Amino acid sequence: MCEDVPCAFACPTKAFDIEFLKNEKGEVDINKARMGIVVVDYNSCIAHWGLQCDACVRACPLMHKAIYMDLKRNKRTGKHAMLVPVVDPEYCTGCGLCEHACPIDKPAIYVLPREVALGKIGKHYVRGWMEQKENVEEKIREREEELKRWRPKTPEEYLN
Amino acid sequence: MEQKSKSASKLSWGDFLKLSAAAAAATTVGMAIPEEAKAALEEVSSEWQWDKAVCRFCGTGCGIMVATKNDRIVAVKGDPLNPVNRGLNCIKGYFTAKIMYGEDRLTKPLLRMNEKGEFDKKGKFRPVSWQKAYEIMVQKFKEAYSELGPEGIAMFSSGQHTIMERYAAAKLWKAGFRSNNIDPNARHCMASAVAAFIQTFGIDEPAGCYDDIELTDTFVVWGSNMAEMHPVLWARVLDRKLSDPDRVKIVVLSTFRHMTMDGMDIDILLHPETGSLLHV
Repeated sequence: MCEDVPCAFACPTKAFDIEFLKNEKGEVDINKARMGIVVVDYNSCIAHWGLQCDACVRACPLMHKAIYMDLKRNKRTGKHAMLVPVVDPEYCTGCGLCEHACPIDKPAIYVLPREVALGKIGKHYVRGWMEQKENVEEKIREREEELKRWRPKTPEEYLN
Repeated sequence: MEQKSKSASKLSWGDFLKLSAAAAAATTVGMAIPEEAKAALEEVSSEWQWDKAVCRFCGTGCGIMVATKNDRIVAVKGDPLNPVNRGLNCIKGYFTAKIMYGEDRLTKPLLRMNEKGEFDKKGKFRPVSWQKAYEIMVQKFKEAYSELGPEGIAMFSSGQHTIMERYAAAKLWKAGFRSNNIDPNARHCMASAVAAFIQTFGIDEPAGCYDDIELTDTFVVWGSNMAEMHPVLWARVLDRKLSDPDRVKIVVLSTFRHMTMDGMDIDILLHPETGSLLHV
């Protein structure tokens, strides 16, 4: 990925939101970009067959962060580990370099719009083992908004 | 896992025999063979033939099965019965069937030449016949030998020489040209390992075997990048680690960071040329 994002500054219609790309220090950081999210088709990914392929991990500009290798045991052979690619939406910018690196005929890893590919966890649940990573304060605010609008359904409403 | 040894065919073996016999009989008595039967026969005879082989892209030795049709490799699969890889491959092995036909593969001699077709060190590579290639090699060899004698020539041979080839090469070079300048590529790799093996284990070869991996508690990976160079073997080391994470330890020593070092129990980054201090 380019580091200085020249297109964002050159764009006459300001299509690219530079504010969105700024990090804590106020510097423009391309790693903040969210162009999409990468998803893996586990059926056609040869790493999920047990083959030792790490083409997408190597192609990733945020190697071991946006895509990292998860270790699994290969039950069929009984003596090989499988290194399978896992995508972390926290870091993935959706640049698509992994899609180009995938060696199979039609890539098993590809970029989709984030709103299409990502799920959303209920605001009423917080992962106790990673409170650091989850924005708990924001979650509390959103949950309280949700609660304000809440009213119980009557049994008739529920049944009919 | 289900294994298909032959590609799907419309004809059974019994049908094939019947058709072959009918075709032979028809030819003998001068009868016309129905076109349909002829086409069916051709389809059978052009089936993929699967043969055993070994993947050549690293030294691990993964067993593969290669399918050929009309003298051309059409497909490859990992051999599930092979004890080394149990049907697996790495990304290099995945491409075995295609890499034979890579556009950049050298299939004929190339000579750097000028516009007139003469040898020129600054010229561009152009294909020449084997005859011409040998003529130029003989000519250049003779020039160097008559100018500088035995000191002016050298043979850089291969660790893949057979014993007979190596014997013939040594005779030719030492008895024939009276030169001591003969060495294999092994001088750059295995020769140093042999010296270390003898000092450490008392034997000049790697003393272990692959089945030891599943019996090992501590791995010391020194000067090797198995994760990238021997991926299938590394998968076995990692599986041993996963089988008993608290007991099995992997120690990696290297002069640079690489994938084998990622997330291992102990990673030691050495400054080049300081490794021998650790031998004490």
